Amino acid sequence: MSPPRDALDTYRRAMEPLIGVPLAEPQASNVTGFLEMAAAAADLYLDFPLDDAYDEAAPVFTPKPLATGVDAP
Amino acid sequence: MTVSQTATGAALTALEIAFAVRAGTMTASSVVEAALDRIAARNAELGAFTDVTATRARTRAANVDAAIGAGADPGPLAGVPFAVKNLYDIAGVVTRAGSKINRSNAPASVDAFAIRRLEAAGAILVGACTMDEYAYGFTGENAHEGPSRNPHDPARMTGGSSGGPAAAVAGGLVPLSLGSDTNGSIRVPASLCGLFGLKPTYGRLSRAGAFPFVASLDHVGPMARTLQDLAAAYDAMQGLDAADPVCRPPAVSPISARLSGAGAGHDLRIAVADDYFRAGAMPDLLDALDRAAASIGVSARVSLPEAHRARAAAFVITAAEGGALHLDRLRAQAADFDPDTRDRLIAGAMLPAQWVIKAQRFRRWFADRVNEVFAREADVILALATPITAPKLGQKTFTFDGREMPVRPHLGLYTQPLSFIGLPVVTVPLRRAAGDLPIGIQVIAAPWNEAAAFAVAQRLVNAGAAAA
Repeated sequence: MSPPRDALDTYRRAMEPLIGVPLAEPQASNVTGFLEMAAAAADLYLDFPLDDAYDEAAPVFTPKPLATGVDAP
Repeated sequence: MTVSQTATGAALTALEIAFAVRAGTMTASSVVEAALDRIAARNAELGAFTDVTATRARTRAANVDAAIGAGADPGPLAGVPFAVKNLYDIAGVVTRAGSKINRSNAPASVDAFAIRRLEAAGAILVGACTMDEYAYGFTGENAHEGPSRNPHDPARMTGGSSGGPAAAVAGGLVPLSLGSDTNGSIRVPASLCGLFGLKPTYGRLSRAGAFPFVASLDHVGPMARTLQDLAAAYDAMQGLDAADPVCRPPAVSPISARLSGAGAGHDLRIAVADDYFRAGAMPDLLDALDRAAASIGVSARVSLPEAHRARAAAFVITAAEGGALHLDRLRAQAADFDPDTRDRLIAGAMLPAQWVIKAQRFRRWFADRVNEVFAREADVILALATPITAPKLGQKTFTFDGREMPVRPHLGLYTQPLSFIGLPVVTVPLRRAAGDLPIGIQVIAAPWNEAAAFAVAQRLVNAGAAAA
């Protein structure tokens, strides 16, 4: 169950100084609205059971080789 | 106006142009001048281009003509004009990425990798095209530059975010363009504008020199009016590039020569995606998909498990990575964003890490399950690219099953779970009656098996089910 809107409002207010983006109305409500959408999306998979093998965050990071340029090996 | 009735004459395919230029029956310079004339005549109507690189194009065309005159091989795409989404670096041009903010950046110093590859094959860049701001959208509408307009009905959306490149090709201004696809931004406009499009396997084509959106989901790829043109562009774009750390193709895998065989793709197991990939679509579009499948003898169905969760996880990763990428700009220049883009990015920058990490973990699970489907049931899977045809510009909702549905996210309903796990997809425009709006289907293959997707796309063309 995703958090209620007032909880997301509180969360948004707490996050504003942390990310350095102060918000005024009506923009603040709009941002909370998008947080609601994200919370509803996350609700679809956060409790999905995964065993410990699924701990891979790739392909976020791949070591970059020293060689540069087109068709480098 | 159809593609073949452009303001300055017939719009040839890329390979027809290259054949004529290589044979000496047409000069690259004349081809480029005709393309520049078409852009001048129709761009105000279509909103396709933001930058036209006429001087550069004329210089390169002269070089191609000189090479031919000297007996040198000008390359397989000799004299073919092409355009790119304006997130690709073009030397001497500011990389806008659809934004107002980037306009104050210095011009790019070198071309993007993909541009260098196409020009090494003899193609000629003629300009950069409109897109959704920072690629965060499916409509082709842009608060700063206006919308790109669908050549099949200029009152309708091209789809996005590669809307300008799609309008440029569908409108016959150029035969070939490059877009990018994070959640569907090549496949959605290809579908709504009636084009062939390729979203390759994640890591197949180098993104170096393309302004990022979501690094763990970004792909680049071409759009064209014929499958052969699409394959030729794909072949030219391939190659290792250390400048993109995720560009790790197992091998260069040319496609063009394999498309000509009449038996291509007949040994492949093909099925239509069921369940999630049929829910939410207009019935006439599902009928069109099923007719196309039947035209090549396909009636089997497969289900990709938990696709709705995959889309949700892609949504969260997109918001979080996009928000993180733009956080400095959100702090310093918030007023210069499209407000809707800005607020989604701010929300993304606030998302809890757990939501993102679990999404990445689910991504691996989903990729493994889908690979099992490919191993056990089908080599290639067919699905609609978009659940609706092109909406009107400015349209926010549509009615489905008696309910009001939002247009913007719904356009990516069927594309988002597939790019989430980096599968190669060829978007194929279905043949349609005169006056009907285009609709495309996705021809989906296992990772690194673009060849299978192209082979089945060719079967659909051969069966008469597909045509731009």
